Parts: sequence; C-alpha cells; structure tokens
Amino acid sequence: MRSHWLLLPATLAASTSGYATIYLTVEQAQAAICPGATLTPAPVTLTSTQRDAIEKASGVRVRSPEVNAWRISGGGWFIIDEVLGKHEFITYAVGIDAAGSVRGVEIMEYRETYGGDVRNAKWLAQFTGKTSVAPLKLNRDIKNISGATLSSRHITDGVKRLLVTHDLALKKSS
Amino acid sequence: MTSRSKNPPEICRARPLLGTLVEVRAAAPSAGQAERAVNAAFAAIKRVHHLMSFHEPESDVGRLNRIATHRSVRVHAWTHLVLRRASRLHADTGGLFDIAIAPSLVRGGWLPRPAVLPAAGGTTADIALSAGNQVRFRRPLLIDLGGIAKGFAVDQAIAALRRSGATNGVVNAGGDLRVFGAQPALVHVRLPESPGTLVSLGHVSNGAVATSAHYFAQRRVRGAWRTPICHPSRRNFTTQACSVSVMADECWLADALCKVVWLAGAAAMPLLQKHGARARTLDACVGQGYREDHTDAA
Repeated sequence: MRSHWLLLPATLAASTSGYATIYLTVEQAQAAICPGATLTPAPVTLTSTQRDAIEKASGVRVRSPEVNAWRISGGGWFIIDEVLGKHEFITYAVGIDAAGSVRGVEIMEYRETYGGDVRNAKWLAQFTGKTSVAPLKLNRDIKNISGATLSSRHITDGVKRLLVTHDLALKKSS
Repeated sequence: MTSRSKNPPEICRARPLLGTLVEVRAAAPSAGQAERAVNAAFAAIKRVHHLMSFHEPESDVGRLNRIATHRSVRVHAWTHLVLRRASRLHADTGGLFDIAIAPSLVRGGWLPRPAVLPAAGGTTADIALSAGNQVRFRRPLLIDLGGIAKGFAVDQAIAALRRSGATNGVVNAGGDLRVFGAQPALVHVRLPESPGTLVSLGHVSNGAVATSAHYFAQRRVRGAWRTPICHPSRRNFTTQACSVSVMADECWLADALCKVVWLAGAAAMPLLQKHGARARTLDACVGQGYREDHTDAA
C-alpha cells in the first residue's frame, strides 16, 4: 500500500471562466434528426395568449415568443431552442413527428460559465449572431470533464415546453 | 471537433439521457461509420436508461420496487448483471455500497416518493438473484441503481462503439467517463470549491474515471447542505466539500467505487487494490491551494 500527499500550486489549475463546445451546426442537426427529409423554414411568433396558454399547460416559463421552427417534408416540425441553467447556456434541436411525439433531441452548443450569472445580458450578448462566436474567455480545448453530474432538467423542461408549443401553436398552423 | 487530415474522421454528439448530458465522441475509418457508431452508443445508453431508471414505473427498477417483494420478477440480462455486481460489491464493502438506501434518498428529497415507502433497514443482501434473470426481494425494499447504472451505461456505449468499428472513443455521462482506443484522452476534474476551475487528472487510455462531488448535486436538508451520498448504516448524508475520482478498467466499477471511497476514505484501499483501481481526492484547504491525495494501488 502506498499513499502520498502533495500540495498542488494553484497555478497548475487550468483557470477558466467558462468553456464551450459546439456539437452541431443547424444543417448537421437537421440531418441528424431528420435524415433525408426536406426542411422549410416556418418561424412562428407566439401571441401573448399563446404564451400564457403554453406556460399554463407545460408549467415551464416561455422566455421568448419566437419559435425557431422548420416544417419537415412528410409531416412534423424541427425546432431550435435555447435553455438557461444557473451556469450553462444550451442550444439544442428537437424533432417532433406528425403525431406530436419527439423523434430526436440533439445538443448543438453547450456553454458554461462561472464567476458570473449566466443570465447576465452582457455575457449572453456575445453569442447573438452566431456565425462566429467570440471565443473570448471561453476555453474550447477542454474536453472530458469528469466532474459530477450536471442535471439535464432544463433541457427536459425545454422539450416539454416545445411539445406543448407544437400542440397549441404549430399544429394549428399546419 | 477538429482533427488533422491524416487522422480518421471524428464526430462528437451530446444528448440528454440518464438525467444528465451524455457526450459520445468516436473516430472511425469513415465519417459515416463514426456516425453509426455514435448512434449505436446512444441507443445502448437509452436502453440502460429505460431499464434502470428509478423514475420510470415500467423500467426493471420500477417493476422490482413495485412487485419484487410479492413475487419473483424477470428482468433484462443487463439489469440482472448490474444487480449481481451490486450484490458482490455490497458484500465486499461490508455493506457500505448499498443500492437499497433509496428510502433515505426519498426522505432526503433526491428521489420522488413512491406509493408505498418501505421502512429503512433492508439492504442489498435482501435481494435474491436466481437463474433466468429472476429477482425477488426477501423483505420490502426500494432500490436505486444511481450509484452504478450510469457507469454501466457508459461501458455498454463503449462496447457499442467497438462493435460498430470505431477505432477511438470517449463516452462521458455527466462525469462518468471511459476512453478506448490507441489515442489517450486528457481528463479534467473540477475543483470542489470552484467548479469553473479545472485541473487535469492526466491522460487516460482504455480506462474509466468517475467523479463524485458535491457541487451540482447538493441540496439543503434541515439547514445544511448535503450530497446525495448516504451512509447505509448511519443513514446520514455527507456534508464535506470534496471531490473523489476513481480510475478503473470499467466504468461501472469506477462509478460504484467512487461512492465507497467517498464514505470510507483510506479504508477503501484494499478494495481499490483488489479491483486494480486508483482514487484521487481533491480537498479544499483554505489559503493553501488544493491538497491532492493520491491513493494509488500501484
């Protein structure tokens, strides 16, 4: 049996204020969830009555009235959505088939930050106009974090909200 | 994910499964093969999720918790294998690793309350496992595979990657991760008192790492922050601010041993040695940086 202790100087720590991973572009997410299908952009702006109804039926807050949606050839919808956790900001895509059930969920981008609230508008502003996200302070080289469980509850809630959105707003516009 | 042109195509995907974000990365001779391998890995994880989720009433775990006290229940071969491993580990740890502490997790607010909550006191030793993937509880029990199934799912995903022809791969289910292939992967761990700061655990090739820490899972119970790691005999929840990582050949073992090291500390050494595993504890020492404890079986 051998056991030893050593003091790690704090400088050895890879100090980051956050890190980010891009998994899929819009086109890749569409191909992953709806292989072979044709997608037609069909963005929807929810009315305040629809927002209220969706919040009531899903129990999840609707942060934005804009639904970033596409119609899938042969039926169903493809939606890109964002959720905010305490430290994470996640863009994900959901495919909903014609019967209203989930055909796939893919994480597109994951961003994490500490030392500041992720809801901070300034922090979020750097991600608008997503063509070239400023990597400022965000470390993309860090992979493979063995770091206890980060809950996926926000995404689960997001998917629940989108299923209700489909039911109350998208389906009727088909 | 970037890769040099001479390297085989690599793809990386993440999906919400097992109550966390699961990331699968695979390299294969062609992009199409890498894609198929990643999809096969996610399918394996989804299968484990549907078999072993405490929250799904029709999962094997859900059915066992409802029925196995009254009659023998046939489960999937994977569930039976996880239960056999859990039983062996329960015996090996003198009861410290216990999948029957779910009543305490329900009372602590980590798991939803079932229709009937058995009295505390039953243990993994009260689970009878027999041929034909049959399971029966000898007394009323509530089991939760949260301390082992995530690692098992990672192992199944790695097996699926291999079967699908991937040459390298990493599967990370919320911190339970396993690497296979010639290319080692640099693994990071969060500092317990500052989860945004990452330290390297070094390179891992063909092995697994699991980490248990307080920072995302903690909640306030009667005024104090607690982690969902419960001492089976004392039935209290730990409060220390530290992070335990265990390295082992397979992820189910790393996942399960992590909880044992968390509870037993250095007393877990013989068990780590028996399984060829190593543990690292990161402990916050005010004003002194971080103390790193290597518990190497080598």
